[in-house]
Amino acid sequence: MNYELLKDLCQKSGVSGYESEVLKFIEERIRQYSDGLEYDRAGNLIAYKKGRLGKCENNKRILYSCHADEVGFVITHIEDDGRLLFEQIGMSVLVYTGRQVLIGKKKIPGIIAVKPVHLLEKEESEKIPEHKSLFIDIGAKSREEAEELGVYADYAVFDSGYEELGSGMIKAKALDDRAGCAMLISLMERGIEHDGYFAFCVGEELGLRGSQTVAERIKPDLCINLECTTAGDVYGVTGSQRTCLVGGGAVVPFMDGSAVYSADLYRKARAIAEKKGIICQTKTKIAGGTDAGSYTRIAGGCRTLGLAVPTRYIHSACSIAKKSDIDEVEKLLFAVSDEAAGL
Amino acid sequence: MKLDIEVYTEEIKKLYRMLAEIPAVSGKEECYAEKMRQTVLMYTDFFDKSEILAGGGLLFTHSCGVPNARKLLIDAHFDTVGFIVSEILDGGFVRVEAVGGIDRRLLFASEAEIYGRKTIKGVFVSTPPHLSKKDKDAEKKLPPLSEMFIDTGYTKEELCDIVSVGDACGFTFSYKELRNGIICGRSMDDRICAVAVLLAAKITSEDKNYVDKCDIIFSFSSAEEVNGSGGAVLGRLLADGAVVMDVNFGRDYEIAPQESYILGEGCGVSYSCTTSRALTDALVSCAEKSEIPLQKMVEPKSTGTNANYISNAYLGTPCAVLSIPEKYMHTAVEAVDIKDVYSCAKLLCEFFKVFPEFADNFEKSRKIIPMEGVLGNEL
Amino acid sequence: MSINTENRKKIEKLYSIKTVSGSLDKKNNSMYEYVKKELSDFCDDIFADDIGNVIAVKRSGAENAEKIALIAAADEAGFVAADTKSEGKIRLHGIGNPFYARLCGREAFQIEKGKSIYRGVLLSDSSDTDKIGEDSFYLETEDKNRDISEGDFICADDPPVFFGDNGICLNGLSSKIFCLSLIDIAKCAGSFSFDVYYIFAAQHLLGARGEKCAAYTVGADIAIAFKLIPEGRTKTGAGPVIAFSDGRGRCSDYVTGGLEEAAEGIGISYQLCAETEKDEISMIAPFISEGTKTGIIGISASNKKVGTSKCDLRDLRGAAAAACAFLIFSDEKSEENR
Repeated sequence: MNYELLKDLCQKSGVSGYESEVLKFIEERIRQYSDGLEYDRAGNLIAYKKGRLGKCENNKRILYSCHADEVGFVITHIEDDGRLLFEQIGMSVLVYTGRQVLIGKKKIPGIIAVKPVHLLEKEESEKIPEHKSLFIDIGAKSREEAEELGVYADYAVFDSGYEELGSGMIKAKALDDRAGCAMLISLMERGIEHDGYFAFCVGEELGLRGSQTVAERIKPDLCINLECTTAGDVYGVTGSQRTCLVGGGAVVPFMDGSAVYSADLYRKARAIAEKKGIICQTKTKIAGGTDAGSYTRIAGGCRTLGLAVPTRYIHSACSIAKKSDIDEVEKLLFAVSDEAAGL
Repeated sequence: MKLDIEVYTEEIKKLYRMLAEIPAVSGKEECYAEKMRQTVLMYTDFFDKSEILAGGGLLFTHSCGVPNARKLLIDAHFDTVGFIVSEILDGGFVRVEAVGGIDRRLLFASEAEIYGRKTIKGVFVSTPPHLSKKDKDAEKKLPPLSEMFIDTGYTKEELCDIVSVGDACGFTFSYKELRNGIICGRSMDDRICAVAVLLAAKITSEDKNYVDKCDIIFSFSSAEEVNGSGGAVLGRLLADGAVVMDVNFGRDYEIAPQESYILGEGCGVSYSCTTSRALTDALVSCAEKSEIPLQKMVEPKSTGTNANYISNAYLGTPCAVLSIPEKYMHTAVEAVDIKDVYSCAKLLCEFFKVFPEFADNFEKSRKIIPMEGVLGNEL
Repeated sequence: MSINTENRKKIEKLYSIKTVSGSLDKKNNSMYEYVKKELSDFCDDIFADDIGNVIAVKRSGAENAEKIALIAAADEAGFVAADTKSEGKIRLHGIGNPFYARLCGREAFQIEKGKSIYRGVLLSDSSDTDKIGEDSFYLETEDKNRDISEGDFICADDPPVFFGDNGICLNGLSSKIFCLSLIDIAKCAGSFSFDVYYIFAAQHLLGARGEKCAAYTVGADIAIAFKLIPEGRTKTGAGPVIAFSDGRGRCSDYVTGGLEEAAEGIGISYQLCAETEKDEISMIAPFISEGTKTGIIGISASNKKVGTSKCDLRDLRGAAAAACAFLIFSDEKSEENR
């Protein structure tokens, strides 16, 4: 895995509904490796790539998919005193209270403000803040000042840098699903055996939106979906509640809240992993939704395989994943892709 | 541009009353589709083709005659909220279930009509609060709809000849004009938007300077209040863009500014994650250039409109949402300002003129390396 | 019609085929094997798709013929092994909302390549009856040769119970009974001037996913879904129920009217129901989004919320008869139109 690429991707903005910055970056990066490239009518970036061995038998269509959007915020209103009201996409209020954000293309810095804890009543300080009581402070003193900056209806992302942490870990925003994007870009750079399609989907965090039109557009026969999945393996959580482990290798799920992955593909992927000495694990708790929900259901549905990076604190400013896991997922992606025609 | 609203005030009122007369509770659109089709075609001859879809929605097409012309879809929903008869009771009372979101607070002793073999009137009732049993809190809580009934004044036997389980019910139509251009009545959601679209169609057809280079499709869609299926089927039209017209909350005493528009201050355009920013911006700049009063709103994730369903149905269609501010949504007394209806109609007229260029640019910007011969349905 | 041995055997056979939601696909599909055996002499084409739907087609032979679909859910609630290692127990995840309290202590089977293999017993490690549920269920097995890994489907033994002349308690895990209705109709109905699609829908309990795929694949003009309707406004034993909506999906008056006409035409008494169940998974909404006119026919069932569905086999017979008559009357109508 090219961690410089991953760092660049994580630092780009791509809130669901406002993915153009990150999609433009990806477009420029993959153009030389694509034999067909377009944005579909819903904004998804779709590439067609010829394989070393040409088309599959029976013109089988193989789709590699990930999503380019991240959780974030939208500015909904500017108050008279220059405070910005906002809405969030995909998160729990606990993860963004008091955080730093960057608004729009110009990356205007702001703070999601809360009342100082010293001034709270005892009970208030024990409660989870209500979203309604939050606002973004950019330091503007008036509505006019804020309006001039053009922040109305603009998006905002966490201001969280990409850093290496501990031993071989990464902390960054938007690992979900820039890690998947990075891996698909790597696969395109490396090359594939048989012709395939690559989709960088929009709107996944809004309910698997973009992937629905991708499914209709491509009507794949086989889909490999790259994601990040919640690892609950923090101190104090035991047993199956941990879902999957950071450091436990590539996650190959058999089922989640949105889809039942093809049992056949699940077993074959695990067999390939074993053959190649790739460490893998599965999810011991069935939760969460991914674009596989679209691919198994839309346009008649197709067999889908999920490959995921176990990640802690997904949908927050500081998600954490282990480099060795990302490498294992990438290795498995490459191995599965090489055998895709026969799967 | 001078907005000659006086010319159209009476017309708007008349057209709205014609459209709101026709009841079409979600699920019953197919019963009234033909009547509505005739009503629209009688009003304007802008559309050269019309059809009724499987769900009971209507599609009116204006072909400009230019080959490979861009297609603009304007959607307003045909169905309204209402009720469905679930049981016919002794004493000529009828029990109902809600269809779509209903505000129960406004139902007590309100007038309703039941669309059975013939349309009959009734009054919504429930156990008078001072007579209800147990709980002293009962007075403060709203009874569920299952404990409210429509009193028809017939006997059960007479009623069974007229009404059966599954018949639709709705609010009675009582049109009122308030002060300052505010009109009120049932089904403003979404008939008043249809009024704006049809008015735009009429103005355009009478505009001698209009250069016809764009196909305009008006979809009067079904089932928006329940499942969006009427919107979902429109994906197959592959329009180059869709302007979805629906009503949105009018500023009122307890409604926050970021969640509402002010009646009379212009048409509403919303930004959201499920609409096309490019198309929305084009609509906004069209309004600003033509000096049409405009208000903006940011709807965080998705709009509560057909745009949700049309935007990612089939291969996707870029959508923008254009709203008429309305108070007292989903009641019998929905209220709008005629000026806003007119503003929307004028904006649509202006937008017809600039849309083809927008669509051409949008199309060009999408294709980077051609996918010819690869997918078989290059679009 | 009473529960004669033959009918009883048919129902027991159907329920012995374990079809936990999500366990079927194109290649491993016990429902496909069963439908193929029953209907290969009566239908032109029988196939399974990737999500596990089984679709049997009786073609009219005409080009561009109209398509009418009949749909029954073929899946049942059950479990999937979620974790076999970290706790030394086989932790189970419930699929399709099984009624946990009822299933505690029942025998459990693993579904492997379409066959069910006895494995052990379902237990809960919660001692609080209110908290028996997903997080506490596991499979207790003494089988040293067991080969259960994550992703394997587990089902409970919960066969239907027959009583009286016409009573049946279906296990709370499934409304599969209507698959029999589809089979009976296919055997009696013969061919028409339109194509008939008999859809045995997979993954219904997971959110009408099979229906979504089938709606797209079939592209029907008319679709009729078979449903169990909780007793309330309708009564068990008072005849089949024709419903106007199932939550978000609203039926077409054309189809509902056609079903009423059909039932009256063959002289069976039926009940009408405005809405089957609030907040339930709509079987017809996916079809409406594909431009299909839909209708719902079913039978009234009591005790549905407490883990079983008590119904009357006469109602079931009536529902199938009415649907069959609908096909026949539709054929006559299109004959007249020609």
